[in-house]
Amino acid sequence: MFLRPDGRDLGIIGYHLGRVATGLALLMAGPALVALVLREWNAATALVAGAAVAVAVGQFTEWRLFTREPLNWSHGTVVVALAWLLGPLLAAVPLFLSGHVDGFLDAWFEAMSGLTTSGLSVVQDLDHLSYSMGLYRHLTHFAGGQGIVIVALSLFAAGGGAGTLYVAEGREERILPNVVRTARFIFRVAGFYLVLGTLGLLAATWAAGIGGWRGSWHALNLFFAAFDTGGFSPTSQSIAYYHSPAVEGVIVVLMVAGTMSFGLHHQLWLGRRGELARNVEVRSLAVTVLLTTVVAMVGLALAGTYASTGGLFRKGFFTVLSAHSGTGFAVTDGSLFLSDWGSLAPAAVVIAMALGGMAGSTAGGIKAIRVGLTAKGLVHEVRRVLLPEAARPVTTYHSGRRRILRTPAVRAASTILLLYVLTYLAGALVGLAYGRWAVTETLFESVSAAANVGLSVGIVDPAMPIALQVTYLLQMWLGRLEFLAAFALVGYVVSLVRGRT
Amino acid sequence: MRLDRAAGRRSSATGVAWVVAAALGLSAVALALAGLIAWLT
Repeated sequence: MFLRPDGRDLGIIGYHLGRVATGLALLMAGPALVALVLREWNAATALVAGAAVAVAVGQFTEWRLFTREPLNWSHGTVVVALAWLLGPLLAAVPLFLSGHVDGFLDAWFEAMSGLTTSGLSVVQDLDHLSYSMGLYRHLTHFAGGQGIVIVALSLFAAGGGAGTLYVAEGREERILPNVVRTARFIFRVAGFYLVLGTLGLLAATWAAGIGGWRGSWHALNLFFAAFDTGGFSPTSQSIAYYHSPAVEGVIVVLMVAGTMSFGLHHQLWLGRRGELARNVEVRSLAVTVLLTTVVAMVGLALAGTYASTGGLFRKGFFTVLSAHSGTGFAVTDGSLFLSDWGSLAPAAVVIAMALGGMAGSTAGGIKAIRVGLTAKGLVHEVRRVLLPEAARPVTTYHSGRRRILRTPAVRAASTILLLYVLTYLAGALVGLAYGRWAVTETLFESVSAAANVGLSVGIVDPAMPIALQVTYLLQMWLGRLEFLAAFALVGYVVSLVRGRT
Repeated sequence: MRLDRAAGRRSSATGVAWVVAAALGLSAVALALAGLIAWLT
């Protein structure tokens, strides 16, 4: 039986949630300034009003709940779970006031999609969204993306047994010895890529015929969406809008950088290039990306949609990488996945979305480490069966250093893998209940939401049913939290009601 | 301090270079596979 949390516990949780609100106000302040400079008065009003609400919440908690008591493990998990659920509520205010969404639920959905780096969108008339609101929309990817990485690496990775369940790899140590230094390194890497990536995209969009201020805006927004594996784009046609191999090329590099764990970035920044060849996540990701790419390309070739090398590469590889990295950029209209891509190629895209990128990155999905450890665990079991009974086979894997594969790590990895699969199926079943879509469509959309990808065959739409929209919203939240924090929140609520005093 | 900064710049450049190399390598393999599949079908 759990202990019932008292007012002091709730105060600590509320105070830290208030700090998240203040952070969201800061997030709105930048685009609000842009709106004022560009004289986009409607957007400026919406962003300032949103920031005012967030500041009010932050200041209220500061006034009523101020505490110097540190967060313990259970407070931390509850704060994370609630922050990712309630933060988007505050982040939704400017979107709601922008007049480009149909009701507050749509605004919450859009904000959840942005902060969880999913990229599914219900914004209406996206091509006429103001510059400042467009920037705000893409900034939610950056804030949510870097935020979840810091949470994952700093808070969960230090959590002993529960941390092991979260990352499912026995990575007990952080990248660097303390939270502040870890956060600083993450923002240093992101800042470095921000400069290089935006300059690269600026050159590419200029070559594609979009120059000047508008080109800079496209480049910056595309950077946030690509590096944070988000998937929002400045136009309704996503990357197909640019018709540019140069834009697609820069985005491929940024998607690869974004789907790599910051642990791997750290190793590479230390000059340990051997990690690229030995790391279990790199190997797992490379194998699954190439396998799903081959299946997608064969499917496209057999369907006769794209027969040339260039077509297969630009459509097939880009889409699979976009799906696998959790980005969700599209180089083809979503409805074509079902009408023109045959049945094999969309299946490969769904598998790629489901598998996801590396743990400790902004990518969603099952994650390469879990796929790698589950596969290694399977091989280990086969070896154990085939070898003589007295033999004690030892299987190792490389992640920063050579590690022995232990049963708890494999069990945790396969448990989370199973939870993801169940979540994908549950979302698909809810979609099927409406009787309007085939299982291929509902599975595609469900996996895209729960794996925080953002590719869509068209079910996600401003006119979608409310219950399905709420289902996808919860899937994005669950997928982002990778279940543990959400379960902890449920446990906390139960202990509030039934806990021992 | 100056040496630290120089080392920092070098390490970040190395890190980015390896990520770019990985992306290019992956793309090159995918392009070769696309060529093979286009030729076979």
